[in-house]
Amino acid sequence: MTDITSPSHRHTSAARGEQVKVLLVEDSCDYAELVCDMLEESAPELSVTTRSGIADAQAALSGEKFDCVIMDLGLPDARGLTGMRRLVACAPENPVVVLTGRDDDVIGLEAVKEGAQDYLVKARTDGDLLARAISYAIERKSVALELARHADQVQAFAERQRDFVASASHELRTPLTSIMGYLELVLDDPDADPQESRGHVEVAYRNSQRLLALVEDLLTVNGLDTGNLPLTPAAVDGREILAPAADLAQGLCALAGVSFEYEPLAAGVIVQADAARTTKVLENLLGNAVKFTPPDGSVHLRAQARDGRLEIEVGDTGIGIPANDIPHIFERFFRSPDAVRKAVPGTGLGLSIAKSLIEAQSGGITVASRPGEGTTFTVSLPLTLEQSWPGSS
Amino acid sequence: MARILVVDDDPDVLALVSFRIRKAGHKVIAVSGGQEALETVAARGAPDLAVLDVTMPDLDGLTLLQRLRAHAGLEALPAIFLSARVQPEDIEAGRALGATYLTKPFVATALLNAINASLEESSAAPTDGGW
Repeated sequence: MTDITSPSHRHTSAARGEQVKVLLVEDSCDYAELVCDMLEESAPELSVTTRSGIADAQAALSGEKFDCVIMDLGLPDARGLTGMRRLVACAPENPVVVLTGRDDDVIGLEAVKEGAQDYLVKARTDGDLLARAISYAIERKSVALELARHADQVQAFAERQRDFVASASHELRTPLTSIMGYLELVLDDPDADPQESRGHVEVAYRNSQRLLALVEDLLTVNGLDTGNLPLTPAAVDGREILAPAADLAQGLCALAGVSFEYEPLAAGVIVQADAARTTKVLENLLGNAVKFTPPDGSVHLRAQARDGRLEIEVGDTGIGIPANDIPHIFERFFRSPDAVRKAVPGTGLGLSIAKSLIEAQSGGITVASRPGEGTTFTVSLPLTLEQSWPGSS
Repeated sequence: MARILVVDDDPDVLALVSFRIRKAGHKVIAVSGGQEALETVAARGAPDLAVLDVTMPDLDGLTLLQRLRAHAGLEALPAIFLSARVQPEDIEAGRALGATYLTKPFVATALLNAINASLEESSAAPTDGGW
């Protein structure tokens, strides 16, 4: 989320001491001239462009960027607030100050409610007051826009959370259906064949494990969303990231009857990364590779430094990913219909977590796959500056 | 005894639902996806009732029911949705098709009662051909 209190988000031209462009919409030539004179004396950094009607002002706004609009309400082509509404609608990011002959609190309040930053009465306005009103209007509008952006972000976040909770509820209920359903079978029939009951309990247990994996992944996803999963990147030797993942993969491959090829990385390749979490990502990719590779196939893990990045490759000779599924595999809760049908365990969250974790470390993750031939995921992480400039620190 | 089509993409749930319905004395044909369900019905004849999951990768249960009912003789196929989607709008969408909507996890008696009620309501008497 953006910190709206930070002054760095409010780059008004005036604050930078640059020229501030004002569009004056006023049909009286004499009064327009007077305003220009007053402002020239009080605020020489303002440059004023004058237009005499709403249509001309709209044309000026569409062709050029202004910092502030000052407008009369008694214009020939739109009287009262109608003209102001049109200007606000065509340039919603522009602060508008009404400068009118009519001293009317009701209209003034109405103007401000409909988007004007201020309502000034001509007879009571001098150059200093107007210059200050312009500068405050610019500032207020900038804060208002920032707040609106902030509100949009909050709303988008709330919508994502609502979708997430609905999806999570659905995903949690699926293993729970088997846990409760199979246990109910056992409880319903105390005289059942013990072999059959044992089978039911095994299904319930397997689904309990699935539920646990899901709960852990959901917590990770929620932590990533809310910023409660701090990454601690540090300069770390690439081998420290790869070696534990290779150990785990070695064991998984042996169990699955799949061969494992690991080419240890040369010493001294230093990346900027959270080692523990990056290892988890590699373990997840290697676990997938083993899951989708039939016995007698092979899985490999290798890495090399290239173009200022460490590229880590996790590849397999497995069943591959159907082309239709490739665009979706990093989406939350996406599971390949193939994997679901074959009852390959998975939460549908692992790859979305991997992508979030790697991207949070200025890294990237890509996939290449051919059905029937295999899949390769490539994770890339930035090398440290020390790596690129030996001796600089 | 009725012939009941059961469709669910989760193999454990599919086996559980089928087991319960078979134990209650019905004939079950269990399939794991919408396309397979359509092919099975085309090849093996009309069921008396369908018990359908809603969220499935190839074809969602709501669309599947509409496609099944497009077959001659299946216009009034009674159906029970058995779904982990529990939002009011999901339930409403299922009921709008004239189906019973049960949520997961489910209790066996609720499913079996719904099956009996649907079969009793259905005017088409169970036949024995086909499966």
